[in-house]
Order: sequence, then structure tokens, then C-alpha cells
Amino acid sequence: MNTPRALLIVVLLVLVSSGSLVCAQESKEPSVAQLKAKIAVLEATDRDPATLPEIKELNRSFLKQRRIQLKALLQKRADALRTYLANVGPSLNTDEKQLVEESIRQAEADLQAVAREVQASSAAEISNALPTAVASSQPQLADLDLVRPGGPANNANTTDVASVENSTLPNSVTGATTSTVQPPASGSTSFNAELNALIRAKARVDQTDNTKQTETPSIGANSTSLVDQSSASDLIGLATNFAGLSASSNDNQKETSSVSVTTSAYALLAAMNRVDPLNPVFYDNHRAWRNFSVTLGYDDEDQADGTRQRAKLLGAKFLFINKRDPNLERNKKAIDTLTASLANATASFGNLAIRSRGFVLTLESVRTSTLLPEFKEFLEQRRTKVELDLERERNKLASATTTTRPDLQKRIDTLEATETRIDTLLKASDDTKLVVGSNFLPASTWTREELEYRTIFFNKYLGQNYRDKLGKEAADAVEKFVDEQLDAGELIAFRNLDSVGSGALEYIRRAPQLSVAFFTKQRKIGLNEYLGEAIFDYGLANRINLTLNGAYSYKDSKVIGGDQRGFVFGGQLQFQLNRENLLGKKPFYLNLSTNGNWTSGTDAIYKAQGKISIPIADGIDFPVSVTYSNQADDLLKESTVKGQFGFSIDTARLIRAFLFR
Amino acid sequence: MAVDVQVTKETVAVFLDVTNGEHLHYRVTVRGATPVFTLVDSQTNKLLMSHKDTPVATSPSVTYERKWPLPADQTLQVTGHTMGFHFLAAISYRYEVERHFEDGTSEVLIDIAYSSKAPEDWYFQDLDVTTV
Repeated sequence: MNTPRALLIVVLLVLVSSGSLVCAQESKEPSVAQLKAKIAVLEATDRDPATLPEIKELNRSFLKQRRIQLKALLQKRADALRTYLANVGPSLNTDEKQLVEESIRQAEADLQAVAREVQASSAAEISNALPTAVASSQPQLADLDLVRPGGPANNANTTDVASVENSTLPNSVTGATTSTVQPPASGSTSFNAELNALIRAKARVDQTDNTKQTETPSIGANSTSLVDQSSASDLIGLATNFAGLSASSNDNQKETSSVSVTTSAYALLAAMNRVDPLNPVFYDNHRAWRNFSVTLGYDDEDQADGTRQRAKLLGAKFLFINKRDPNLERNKKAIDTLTASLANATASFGNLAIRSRGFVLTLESVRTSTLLPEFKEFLEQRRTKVELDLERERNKLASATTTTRPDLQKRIDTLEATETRIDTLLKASDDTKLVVGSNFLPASTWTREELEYRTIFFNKYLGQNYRDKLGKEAADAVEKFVDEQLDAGELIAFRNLDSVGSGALEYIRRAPQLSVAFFTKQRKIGLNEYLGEAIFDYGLANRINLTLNGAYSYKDSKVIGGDQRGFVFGGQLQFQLNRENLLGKKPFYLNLSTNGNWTSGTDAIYKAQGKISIPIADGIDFPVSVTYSNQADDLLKESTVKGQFGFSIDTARLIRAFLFR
Repeated sequence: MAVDVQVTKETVAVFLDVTNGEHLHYRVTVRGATPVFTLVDSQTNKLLMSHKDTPVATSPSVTYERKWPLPADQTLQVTGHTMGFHFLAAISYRYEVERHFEDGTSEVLIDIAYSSKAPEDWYFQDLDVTTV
């Protein structure tokens, strides 16, 4: 199967699956049996040797998602059974109890089995994704790119820092519930998540990362990139460009396309060592390996006779200067400052969380409808238990020896004191129970039972789906309280964290990079092209990056005396037009670039290009460019304007967007 | 960008009988170039753990651990143990908290994986801790 076709199938599958996901969300929650049946079908596809690798990879993503769904459902079932047993246990006979307990055991066993499968699939992704992706010249789903703060920045239309996430999901991810924090906070989340969202909404200063090059190198005639960048993806990047349009052309030229895959030596090393490339220690210890990357690809070109030929693209880059590694000594101070700022903000968050939770206990509606009635219930249950324990200990005391008597008597004294305390609490006025101080913390007079019940209440009402559990009125009141608490003074720690984070990002992102690259385009018919170039990147200012290319080109003609040698110089200014939003799309980029080509035997060619990269969905960018050239090509001595558009597809981001929705 | 939060277990508050030997066990597993995280006792304002500590394991994953309370730790009746994660140069963190009982058994209180696409992202996870 050829590469574009494979890519198309993958994209279509993703789009179809997104539709099914949406439908699934709208429909009734599937049963355990239904999910198991779906998983069985996907597992059969996974085992089928006829399944194409691309499809298999995608299928595994869906399989994992279904398993996570199943895990959540089994957890829910086990919890419900436990609650049921706790509530009606005394009313059940021994056989009935055993039946319920057996159901709980079964649910827990199923749960553990599914958890193991999810963990195993994550581990398999780590060990399999890289070797597969590197070994094949076809586009893979494992579109990997390492985290770098600002990374080898200045590289538009590429995988971003988290694109690795998808293909090598943390072996830790065995999650049952997924929530994406976006302000305003949604109802289906914990209070902790909502607090994060509320703070983020008020304090956030967005920054973003212009990442790495996944566009086809500019040597490809159909590339939307006029200037190459100094760094490639740390691991693997994929780029494809489609239609080539000419403003001066109204002929029936077929669409041309180019595809390239770039990988670093680091990716290969990690794969050979079977190490998670995102292991921070491995990452830091093998910094030099990330400096070398290779690109393989092709460029489909239309011929004058109406046929099409596929030219091979080969390339390699070496980073001589890379000051953008976060672990470099020059960047450590920025990281240390960020750590101190994070510690301050962490403490502020903790203080606000404690106050906010305490505030819930002061809400009259909460106190009268749930807190105090349920506390009374808790005390009554506890009293019954204490009575039973007392009776048992007193019976033991009757037959105790002199050595065991003191301990038993001590336990009885403690239980009696507890009983007295509970009786006092049961008789006490509601106004005196569970009353927090002005700092929203329990007063020193709180009993052990009050402290214990406070914990139970928080876990019951402020966990997942806290808005539903607490009720809209109370949840709104809490949100209002948090909003009021988040005044300028309170926000200082969080704004400072954003500011320091942005500063660190910019400091690292703007550091210089210098690379030397070699590209070649090999054709069966026509000239073979060779390009050696030096590339320099430097951040001029916040969200403005400068890239300079100086290159020597050589065109090897099969005609004697037809060789061409030339010098190419290019420069690009990249402007990030907007901040990255919270919905996952990348920002708009405007690139202004110019390029001069002085080749022997021909007139000089000058080009200028304006290009805007439009993020049309998470993982898909739509670069549109307009290029002016003083010559259309070597034959037509007239100036042209050529418009191009294409799709830059970040497969990891794309898949991830669907998996985590 | 938003932080993706994958919750396996989330607990808001824990009641800990430290006089009977109960204690908490914190574990953070990181992925990415450079982790940046801090675990802070919000009432004593003490840094309990951070990425600057020596990891207990570096392969296959880089893991940091911490027991609480240690003899030197101050235990207040009520406090908050808050974990802060920054995604400047890390893409995911797994955060686990276990409650260990006197008899050697334990229960998982928190098991959450956080990941983010954006280097400016942060996330906080708070645990209300009551001790007697």
C-alpha cells in the first residue's frame, strides 16, 4: 500500500472514530457486557495478521480507550456493590451476603485484569512505537517529538512538546476517568479540578511554543516552507504537502505531493536500548544524540509530457550549537527560579483549597440538608459500634488475667470516653457542631468524631462530580467564594508562576541554535540536486524568531556541461500571532521569508514569501502561502505569483485529541 | 492548552492516626526532559518533596518517593499537602499517595496521571490531611 493511501485511511479512521465517540457520548452508557464484546472485536482485529500496521496501531488506541471505559464501569459497579452491602448488609442473610461479596470479588478481579491490560498496552506502546516508526519509511502514527521548553523553537507547523504523549503514553496511565480542565469548569469534575480551572481562568498568562519542523524541507518544490529550520524533531516528525497551485497556470496539471519523515539519532538510540525516550535521566545523559537527525521523503513532480515522476528526498542535519536544552547549565537558573515560584503557588493553592473546603461547612443549605443530618447518622452508627465494642471488652474483662486486665481496662476507658463524647455531641445544639474558625479550619475544640466526619464529608461531596453531589446552589456559592478569594493579592503567587514560567520559556526559546544540513533530491529524469546549508535560529523577541540559511547548491545534470552550481541565501521572520488557547489548537503563525538563488548559467532568482499557518483542528494545521518570484523557472523568464496550500498533520496530537476528549 | 487528568483514584481528605503508626507514602513518576514539581505542606509552608530530591529509581521510569510524617516533620491537626506540577519541560506526571496502616496494609488514596501539551501549564492536587 502506498504511503498517501495509508495516511488517508488512518485519517479517515480517526475522523470516523471521532464521530462514533461523539455518538457514544450522547448515547446511554454501555454495559459491561457490551464493552467486553466491543473489546473482543478489537482484540480480534489486533491479532489478525492481515491487519495493516497503521490500522493495528490505531486499533490499539481504541482498544485501550475501551479498556479504560470498562475499567471505569467495573470500578463503578464494585463501588455500588460495596455501598449496597454497607447499607443493607444487616438485613441480608448469610447466603445473600456471600452472593454480594462474591459479586464484589468478581468485579474487583475483572477490574485488576483490565488494569493489567491497560498497563500492558501502555508498556507495549513504549517498546514498540519507536522501532516500528523508525524502521519504516511510511508515515507512522508514532509522531514523536520530545519536550523542550521552546525547544529548538522557531519551527512552525510541527509536533509540539506533548505530541509524544500519545504514542508513548505513560505506563502510569491506567486512568478510569478523564477530565480536561477548561475554564469555566465543567460540572463533571472534582472540586480540586474546578479550583485549578478557576485559578487558571483568572491568573493565566498564555505563552506558547513554536516547535519544530515537520514540513517537507524547502528543497521539495511543493513544500510550503521556503526556509528550513535549524532543528528537526527530537524523535520522529511527519509532513505532507498536497496541491501545488499556480496563479499563472490554467492547465490541467495533476496534483503533486511531497512527504518526508524526519528522525533523530536519539530516537534510534532509545529504540535500540528499549528505553522510554522520555525518561528524564536518559534524555539528559544522551543530549548529543539529539543533535543529529535525518530526513527521508519524496516529491511527486509533473513532467512536461504529462507523466509524473517521484523524486527522492534525503537529508541530514547536525546541530553544532544548541543552547535550548533545559538541562544546560545556562538554563538551570531559570528552572530553579521556576521551582521556587511553583513552591509558593503550591502553598497558596493549598491554603485556598483548605479555606474553600471550610467554607462549604459554613453554608447553611449544606449544614441543614446534608452536613448535620448525616453527621447525626454517623454519630448514631458510631455509638452502636462503640456499644458493641464495649460489651465485648467488658465480657473479656470478666475473664481477663492480671496481665491482660490493664490493657483491657484502658480500652474500656477509651470506649467509654468515646461513648460519652458521642452522647454529648448528639445532645448538643447544631450551632455548636462542625463550626469552623475564621480561618475556615476546625477549632481546637473539635472532637475526634467531628474531625473524622469532616474527612468523610469532603470525600463524599468534593470528589468527582462534586457539583452534582453538592448541588448547584452550594457549588455556585463555593465558586463565588473562590472568585472573591482570588483577589489581586491572592493571585500574586499564580501570576508570578505564569510570569516566571513564561520568562523561563522565552529565555530558553530565544537561545541560539546553529546547524549544518545536507539535502538531496534524486530524480530518474532530469537534474539531481544537492544542497548543503548552514542554518541559524535566534529568538529576536517574544514570539518573533529569526532564521537564516546560507546554502551551496549543486545540480548534477546528465548532460555534459549542464551542471549548475549556485549559492542560496534565505531568511525568515516568524511571528506568532496569537496566544495558544485552552482548546488544544496551535496558534496562528505568520512567516515572512525571502530567498535568493544565484546559480551558474542562469539569471539570479529572487523569491519572497508570506505564509500563514492556520490551526484548523487539534493536530491539523493548514499552511497557506503566497510566493513571488522574479522567474517562474529557468525557462520562463517572467515573474510569477504562486499560491500554495497544504495540510500539516501531527498524527500524535490528532489521535491524542480524540483519545482524551 | 489544557492539562489532561486521568484519574484512577482521587481522594479529597484523609484522616490519619499517626499515634498508631499510620503514615502516608508519596510517589511521583515523571516523563519529559526536566520535571518540575513541588509537594508542600500548606499550613507549615514546608517543602516536603521536589524534583531536586534524588529519585529512588531511574529505570525504567524516574520515580521520586517520600514518607510522611518523618520524625522531623511537624504534624498539625489539619493541614493540606499540595502537589504542584509544571509542564515547562515535562509532558506527564503520575502522582500516587498511599495510606499505610499500623498492621502493614495500605490503601491507595490518589493515583492520577497528568499530561499537558503546553510548556506553560501547571496543575495542583491538594490532599486535606487530618492527624490525631
